[in-house]
Amino acid sequence: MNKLLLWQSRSILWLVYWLVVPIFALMSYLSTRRKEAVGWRTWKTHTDSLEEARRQW
Amino acid sequence: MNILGISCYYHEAAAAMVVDGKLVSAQAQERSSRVKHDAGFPTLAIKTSLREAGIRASQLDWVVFYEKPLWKFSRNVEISLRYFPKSALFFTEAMRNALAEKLWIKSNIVTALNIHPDKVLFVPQHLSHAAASFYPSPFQEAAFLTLDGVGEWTTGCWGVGEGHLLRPMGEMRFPHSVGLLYSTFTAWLGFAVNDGEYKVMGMAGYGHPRYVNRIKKLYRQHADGSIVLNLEYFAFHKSTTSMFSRSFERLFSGVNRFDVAASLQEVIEEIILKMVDYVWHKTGKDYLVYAGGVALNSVVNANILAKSKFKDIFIFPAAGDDGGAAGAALYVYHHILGHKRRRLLEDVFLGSDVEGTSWRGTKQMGDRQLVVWVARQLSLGRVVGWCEGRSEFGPRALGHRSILADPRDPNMKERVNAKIKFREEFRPFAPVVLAQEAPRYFRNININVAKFMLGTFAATDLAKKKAPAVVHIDGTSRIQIVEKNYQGRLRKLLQAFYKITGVPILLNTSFNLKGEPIVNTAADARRTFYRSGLDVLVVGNHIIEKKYGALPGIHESAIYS
Repeated sequence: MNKLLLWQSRSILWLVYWLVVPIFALMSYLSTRRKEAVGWRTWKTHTDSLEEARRQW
Repeated sequence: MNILGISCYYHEAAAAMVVDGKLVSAQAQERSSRVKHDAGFPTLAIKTSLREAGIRASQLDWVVFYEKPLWKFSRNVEISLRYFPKSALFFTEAMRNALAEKLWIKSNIVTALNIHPDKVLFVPQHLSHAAASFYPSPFQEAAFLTLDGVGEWTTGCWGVGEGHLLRPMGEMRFPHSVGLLYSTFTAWLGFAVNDGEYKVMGMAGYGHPRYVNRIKKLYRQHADGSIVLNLEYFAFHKSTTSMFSRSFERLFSGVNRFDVAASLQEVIEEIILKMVDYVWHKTGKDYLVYAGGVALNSVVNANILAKSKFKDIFIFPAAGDDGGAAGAALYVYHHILGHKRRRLLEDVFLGSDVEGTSWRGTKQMGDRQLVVWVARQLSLGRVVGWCEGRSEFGPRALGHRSILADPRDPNMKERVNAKIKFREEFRPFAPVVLAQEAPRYFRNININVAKFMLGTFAATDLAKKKAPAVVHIDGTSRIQIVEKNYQGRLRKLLQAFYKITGVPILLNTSFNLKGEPIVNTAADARRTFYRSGLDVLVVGNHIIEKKYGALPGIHESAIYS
């Protein structure tokens, strides 16, 4: 039973590792390809109403 | 209408109450918790702000948080991805912080105050900074510029304030930040980030700016004043433990650290003046309101006054994150709810009150007798801890929680540094001076700036001769002027000292020991008094004297046993 549990948890960790790492690597690659914002950018995220101020984003 | 502003979870946590458009109370959490730069949820500061405003939580119309938490979260995720796998530890730490408390700020506020969730609002951090400086300013129309380490994504922002409206126009984004450039040097010089920046400014006076070109390798500045950091030299964007990279260490190995501080100060001035110039050209306004943690660099502020095309500037005295609490509340009252502006900021005595302190067995005097007696003690070279009324909001002690001393004694600076404040010998002390006498001692004084001790001004030969303890090695002083409408007895004390000595100036430094927040209550003052080399303590009308001189490290109980 213990061996089975050990095997299962190792398998899950292995799967998570090999799923997460490539996803992070891919997203990382994509984010570096995106042109980085430099200089003054136009301010776009306005908070002018109660509706907008209630948002946490 | 009652609006509570809150800032927390990054630098100084604070709370501020705005009642019908007037800032009536505000305090940083550190003053009550006694933890320097306390960034935790400001329960104690909220209690103080509500108490001093005479408001119960149930009477609050709105509660405003000074930033947008999900924007900040998105920045941490995106930056972690961009610099993966080097950012793996940074990502883990950022997620742990965010998931533990930062993302639940709304529910924390609702629970702490027992209010309806719809009353909780969020304002972008740089708009909170801009609002804190614009709405209390004397200007109906002004350009604004905010600069700090980083808000959500924004590291700098400019725009226009007109009447009750703030119109942001441009922003600079993380990781390209003037504040983080300065903080990286703060860390490299061996000081704590978000704490030691003013020490670097003090060091600059002792060095020569011979590394300007080397520092310029760290960034590129565009014609519009915005900067792009060369990230090869930095690590703050991917590390939880270091601000700078090995390349940075190699670039500055073996250099004189005072010269680096001087060079950094020169570079920062050049960067900010170019930004200010751009903002002036784009907005066409005559006045500038300036905010964010970088606006506490008093040497740069003086240069903006002297060299920019703006006719006048205003800086909110709590220019950093603590002031964001006040700015967020003011932004909602004016910009979102559309109320007209009515009140200027007359003072920042917005915190806890020590009046009404009742100590048994201590000497007590009436106001008139007290100021004459204290002035006499100061003229004899005794150093006084001076507490009256409500505490100041912001990092400067403006005469309600101050240590005062005679500036005529050239050794006073060393004495106060070594025996009372226990801090580095290179750090200067500031003068507080009667406004009408100030022009004889300091040049080109700007009232808006000098009233809140936010700029340095050149000392005249008379000041260097009569008050050597408060003139920095570079010949300037970060002065506070005391006008006729000053709230408190400091003006009377200065007049009494002037009458006795012929010098209308006192050395004024914050009433705290190294590494501790400024004292808040009468009990804090008394405790600090006995742990330092102070000679006299004045709290309200109470006086305690040490007859046996400095006793650093001795606890009150040992003296009164």
